[in-house]
Amino acid sequence: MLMKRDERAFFNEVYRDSFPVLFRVVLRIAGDEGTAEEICHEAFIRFYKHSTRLPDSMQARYWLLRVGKNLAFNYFKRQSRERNANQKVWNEPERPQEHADAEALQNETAALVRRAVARLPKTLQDVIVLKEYGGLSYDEIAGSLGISVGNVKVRVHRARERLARELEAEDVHFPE
Amino acid sequence: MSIFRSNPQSSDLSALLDNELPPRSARMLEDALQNGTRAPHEFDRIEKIHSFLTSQETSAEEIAAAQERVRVRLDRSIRAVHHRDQRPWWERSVTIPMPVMATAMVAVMMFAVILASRIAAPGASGSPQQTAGTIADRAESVNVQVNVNGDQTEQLLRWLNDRNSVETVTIQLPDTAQFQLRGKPVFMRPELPGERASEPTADDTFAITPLEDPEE
Repeated sequence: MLMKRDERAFFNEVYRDSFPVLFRVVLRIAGDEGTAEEICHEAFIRFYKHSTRLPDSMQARYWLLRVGKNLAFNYFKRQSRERNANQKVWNEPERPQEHADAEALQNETAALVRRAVARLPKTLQDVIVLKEYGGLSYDEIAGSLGISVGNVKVRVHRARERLARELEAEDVHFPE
Repeated sequence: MSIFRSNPQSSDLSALLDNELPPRSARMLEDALQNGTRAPHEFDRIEKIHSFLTSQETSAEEIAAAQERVRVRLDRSIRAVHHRDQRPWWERSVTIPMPVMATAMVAVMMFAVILASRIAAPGASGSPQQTAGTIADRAESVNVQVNVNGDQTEQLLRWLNDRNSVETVTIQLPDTAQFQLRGKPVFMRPELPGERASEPTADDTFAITPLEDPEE
C-alpha cells in the first residue's frame, strides 16, 4: 500500500541533516558566509518546490549538493568576470597584499586555489568539491553523480594531480 | 586525456589519503612509500593539496548559526510561497517569458490587421449605395418565374428590356405547340476572354414561326 509522505516533516529532516554539508561546500566555493547563506537559501527554496519528486533523504541530499554547487560556481564565475571587467575598465592591476601576514597569505592562497578548482573540467570539479569540501565518501560521491566508485577514485586523483600541477606553475605558496 | 588511461596504482595514493583502500592494500602501499619503492614525492604533492583544501574547515558553531539564520529566512519565504499558492487564480501573478510575450503580441497585431482589412474591404459594409449595389448584384442570380398569357409576352419582354436588369429570359412553350424553323440554325457560344463572340450574319437569320396550317 502506498503511504503518503509528510512533505513538511521530510523537508525539515532534509534541512536538518543536509544543511551542514551543503553550507560547507558552498562556502568553500563562494568564499564568504553571507553569499553562502544566500545560495543555501535559494537551494532549499528550489528543493521545497521540487521535493515531491525526490524519493528519499539521500537522493534529496545529492540533489541539493548538485544545485548548491552549481549556484555557487555560477556566482564565483560571475564575480570573477566582474572583477576582470573592472580591472580592464579602470586599468587597475591586482594589488598585492600590503601586509603579507599569515592570514593574508592564507586568504590569497585560498583565492588562487578556488580559482584553480573553478577552472577544472566539470567531471573532475564535481568529485573534488564533494570529496574535499563536502567530505563525502567515494560511495556517496558515486551515488550523487551516478558513476562507479572506481571512477570516483580515478577522478579524485586526477583532480588533485591537476590542481598540484597548476598551482606549482603559478608558484603558489601553501602555508604550513 | 581520458581518465581511463590514468594509472590505477597512482589513484591508489589518493584512495590511501582518503582511507578508501582495503586495509591490506593500504598497508602494502604504506610500506612501499616508507621503503622508497614508490616515489614518496608524488604522495606528498597530493597530500599538500588535500591538506590545504580541507584545512579551512568551518566550525560546527558557525555552521549551526548559519543554519538557524537561513531557517528563519526560509520560514518567511516558504510562507510567502504558500500564501501565493493558496490565492485564487485570478489574484495570482503570472510570469510570462519574454519570447512567448513577443510572439503573442505579434500574433495579436496580425489578427488585428487582418480584421481591420476585412472590415475596410468593399462590400462588407459601407455607404448605402454600396449596400444597394451588393443587393442588386445578388438579385441578378435570383430565378423568378412569371406566368403571362401569350398575348402579353411581348409587353413583358419590353418591360424587362426597359429595366435593363435582366440577363437571361427563358420562355417555356406549351408541349402542344408546334413550330417550324426558318433559315439556318447558328451555333452561338458565350464570349470568351480576349475573343469576340461570333455573330450571325444576315444570311444566317434564324427565326421560329408557327407551323403553317396544312389545310390552308
